[in-house]
Amino acid sequence: MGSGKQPLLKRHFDRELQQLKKRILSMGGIVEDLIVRSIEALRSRDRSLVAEAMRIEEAIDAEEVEIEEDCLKLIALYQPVAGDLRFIAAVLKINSELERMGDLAVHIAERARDLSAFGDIHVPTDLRRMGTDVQSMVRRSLESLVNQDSELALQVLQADNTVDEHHRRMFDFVAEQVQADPTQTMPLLHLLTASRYLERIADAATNIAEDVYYLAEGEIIRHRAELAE
Amino acid sequence: MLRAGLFWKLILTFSLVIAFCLAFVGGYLVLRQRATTREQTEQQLAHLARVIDDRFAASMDDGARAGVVGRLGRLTESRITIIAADGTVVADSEGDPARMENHRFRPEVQGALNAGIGSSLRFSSTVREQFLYVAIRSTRREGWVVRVAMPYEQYERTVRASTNVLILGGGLAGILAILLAVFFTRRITRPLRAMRRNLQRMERGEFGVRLDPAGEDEIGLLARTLNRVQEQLEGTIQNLTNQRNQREVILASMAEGLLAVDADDRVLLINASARTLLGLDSQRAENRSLVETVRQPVFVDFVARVRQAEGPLTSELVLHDPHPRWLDLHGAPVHFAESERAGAVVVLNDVTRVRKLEKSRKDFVANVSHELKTPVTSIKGFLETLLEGGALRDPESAERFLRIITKQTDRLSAIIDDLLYLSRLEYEEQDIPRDSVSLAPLVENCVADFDHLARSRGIRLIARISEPLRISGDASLVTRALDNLIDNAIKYSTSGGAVEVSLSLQGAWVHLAVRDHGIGIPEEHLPRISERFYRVDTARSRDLGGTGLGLAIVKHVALVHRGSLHVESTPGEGSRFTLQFPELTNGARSGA
Repeated sequence: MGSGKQPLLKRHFDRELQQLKKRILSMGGIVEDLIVRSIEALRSRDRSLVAEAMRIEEAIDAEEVEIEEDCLKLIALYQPVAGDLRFIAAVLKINSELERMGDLAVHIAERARDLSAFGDIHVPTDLRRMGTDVQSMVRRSLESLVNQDSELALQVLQADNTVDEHHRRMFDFVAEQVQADPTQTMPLLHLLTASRYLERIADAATNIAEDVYYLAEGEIIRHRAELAE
Repeated sequence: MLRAGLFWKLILTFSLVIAFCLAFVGGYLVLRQRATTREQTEQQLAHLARVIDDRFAASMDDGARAGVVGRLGRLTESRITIIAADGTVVADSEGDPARMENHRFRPEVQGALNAGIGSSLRFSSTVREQFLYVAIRSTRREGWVVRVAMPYEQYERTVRASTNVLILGGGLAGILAILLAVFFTRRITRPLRAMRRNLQRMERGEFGVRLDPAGEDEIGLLARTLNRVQEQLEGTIQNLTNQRNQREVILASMAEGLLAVDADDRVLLINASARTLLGLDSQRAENRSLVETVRQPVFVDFVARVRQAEGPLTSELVLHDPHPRWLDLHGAPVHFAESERAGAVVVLNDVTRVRKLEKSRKDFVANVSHELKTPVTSIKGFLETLLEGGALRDPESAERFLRIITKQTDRLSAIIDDLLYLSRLEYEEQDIPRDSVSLAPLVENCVADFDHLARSRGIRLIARISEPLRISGDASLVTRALDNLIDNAIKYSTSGGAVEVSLSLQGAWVHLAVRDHGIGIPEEHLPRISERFYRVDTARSRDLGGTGLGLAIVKHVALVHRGSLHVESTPGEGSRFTLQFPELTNGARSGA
């Protein structure tokens, strides 16, 4: 690395950037875990997650504020340029996406609780698959952030179409079932809402992937510019 | 680089020393010879001058003197001049004294007047040649000076000739010395270069090339020492590599997951088991920070706590993605030498099986109580009604109640029978008979037994036996298992459907399958279907008279025969239960 040759300020800044990366990733880990658990709760109609989910969500909110402050502090203090600035800008955006994902996960946990009151309602296969797909999207979007891997980010963008398709089918399914058996309207609406939340989590994961793509491809363009000089 | 270094430094030093010596010695010799030659010549000239002074200078008249001086000058090949006290030339062997200027202030004349003898080497304007003049004060006539001069060119030539010889010899000696210096310097620098090449190779990790330890001098000794050092180093590195490989193999083949982080939360080590347990793909993890590798917040938090802790910590981690699993975490802080803050080592154990067993045991106790309680409550209720409600007086109700009580008692008895059967199976696992069981007749008997029941429900019961197969085990147990499966298949089939029982061989395994076209089992129930009292649809199962233990018994029968039970099902299309047993090949009875 030859860190001894870098000026002190640059070294400080690099350390702070590393710290920021760790922070956003650990927040990502918390959000990812909450999403996985809320989807699991939806599957098993577990009503017990809501209280814990809300507590975690509060921690996520607090963390979001702190990460945002960190980003602004870094910009003000070090006035970063090029790749570093792009990284901080991406973190700012990803930060708010993660916070929204956390909110949605809490909503899903609430739907799971509400559904549990309706006894044995059959959760359609589409919603299960959708849950698995959304989990995988969230995981891959964060993984693409870790590795700044634009290929993986592109995969996430493509997976969003599948999730949208799942959601459309869920809509059709619910519409059909409500007509067939109007007494089941309430639980079916809960299912549809949960599906909607899942779809929005997938959108947030897509946004993260887009930010990562911009970040990673921006790097490559910058390197090319350096080579041309 | 080295060539320009030591080699040229040595050569330059040698050359300078040699040149300096040659210059010093040569210069000294040349100067010395020149001085000696001049001294000797001066002495000769002084002798001559004294003779002339003694014999002729003072005593003769001018004419005779001139003649004598001329003659002597020619004989001695020198120029003789006699100068009077006032400086006028009295006689000269080369020129006419009358036309000569006053010689009083010539340096040799001044020297002679002052010190008795004087000499001078200079260019004579008279003869246009380099001359050595020697003058002495006359002893015969006061103030007179006799001067003798010689052309000095020839002496100069002698000196120059010997100087040339000296330079030539010196030059030759110098060249020879430098050649020798080059030779010896080479002998030093060449092995040094070889050593440097070897060390560079060692730096890159290439071993095996040994130096040629020529000579017994310091360089040869150095080469030998270097060879020994290289050998030892090679051995040490080989040892370390072996040890590292061994450790890596050991770590990789550990069933427990192992993960180590340093004080900066960078992953130092993560073995294959840890990757599998944490559900990481095979991407690079070493030297990355922990959150970049494992984002799981509970795990990250645990590692952070371990790094702060005084001693070992334990915790449990539940992961849901992609399938639920329980991990036992044991962590201990590690103090690496270079940092005062601690790193951490975490050992991960998969305790999913243990947790599931615990859960199923708890479930079992709860379930068995519940299952026994239901008929008992019912029996108790009807008995109380009979005794206190006055139903006994109404023969019709009394009979109805007694029938219900009988049915519940049968149910109770069936559950207890099944439980006993299961527990006997568990206890006698190792001691069941290992007879050679022919499955074809067994299947035929079972199918025949259920024929009546199937017909009464409008279900076709079909047996497909591809070949007569044998397994080692207990025929009554296998019959019981197959009975349970066929019974279930008929219960859950709709009228007009078919139940197929098939017997086939796939590889070394005998497949005994029962296929129905009934309601099927939703996917999420499949993994737990053979647990005791586990019911997909509780009400329906009871209505159909199930004890909730049928499939548990089937599974156990498979297990005690070293086989297994597989279930495939599609809701709405039906299910397929397959018992797999190891085939008993002809003549070979498997030992217990």
